[in-house]
Amino acid sequence: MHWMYSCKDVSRLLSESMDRSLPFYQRVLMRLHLAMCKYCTRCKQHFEALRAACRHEELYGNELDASRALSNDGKERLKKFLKNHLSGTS
Amino acid sequence: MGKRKSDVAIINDPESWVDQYGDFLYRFALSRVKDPAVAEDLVQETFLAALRARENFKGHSAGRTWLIAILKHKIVDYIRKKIREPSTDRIETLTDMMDSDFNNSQKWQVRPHKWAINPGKIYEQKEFFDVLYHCLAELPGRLAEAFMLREMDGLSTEEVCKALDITATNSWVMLYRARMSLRRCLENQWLGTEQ
Repeated sequence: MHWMYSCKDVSRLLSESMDRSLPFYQRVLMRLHLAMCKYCTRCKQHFEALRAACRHEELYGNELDASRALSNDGKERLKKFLKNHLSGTS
Repeated sequence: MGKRKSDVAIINDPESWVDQYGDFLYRFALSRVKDPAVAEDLVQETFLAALRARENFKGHSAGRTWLIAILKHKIVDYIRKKIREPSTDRIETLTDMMDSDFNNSQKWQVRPHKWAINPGKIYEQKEFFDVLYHCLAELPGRLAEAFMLREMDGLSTEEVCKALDITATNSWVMLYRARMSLRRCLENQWLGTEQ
């Protein structure tokens, strides 16, 4: 890898840095590139936004429409389904 | 501690699942698939998968969180079947697509847009998740699985490798491809972006 990272290199390293700790020199060269490149900076923000959204999805879940609920029939069907599977008859 | 104990107790008592978690799982499924009958089927599939895996539940997370994680995978499976044309299951084709992200001098071919939304509050956008689930369903199955395990279920990279039986290097490549592909898909399909 050339000492000056390309956008392609940086996009890959941005992703890897979310899954492992990068060596010091790679972090420095990546930051150097990011300081000069607004598109890679956006890519970084997008990766981070994806992570933040996925990890907070349950917050959204708490705001779900509480008026929507399983019908009584639906509940009965599910209970029967579980019961059947537990007793091994289904 | 008491809460965890009771979660383990509930998971060990499947007959209580419908009353304990049924409505929440149903609402979550309904928010993604819109169709009440499909949402109910997905809850049923989630319960079935949970029945088979319940001895793995050790109470490290809440029972509800554990079940929601299963449900999310079921939702993506459902959407994938529904669209019936996952762009490809061949990762090589995705590599070709990714090469089109960059030009010959390895600079962005299609420059990343500025997302017209506060990235930290992205999860408040209802339509964001609709598009995200659709984009996940269009990914090759293994990539979607790796991404969901890592980002939605919050597994460590080591745990993802174990679950998918892949090397660490493989997991980094797969997660990179998944993120790049999702980023591009969201940008193409989600209205919350600007040039």
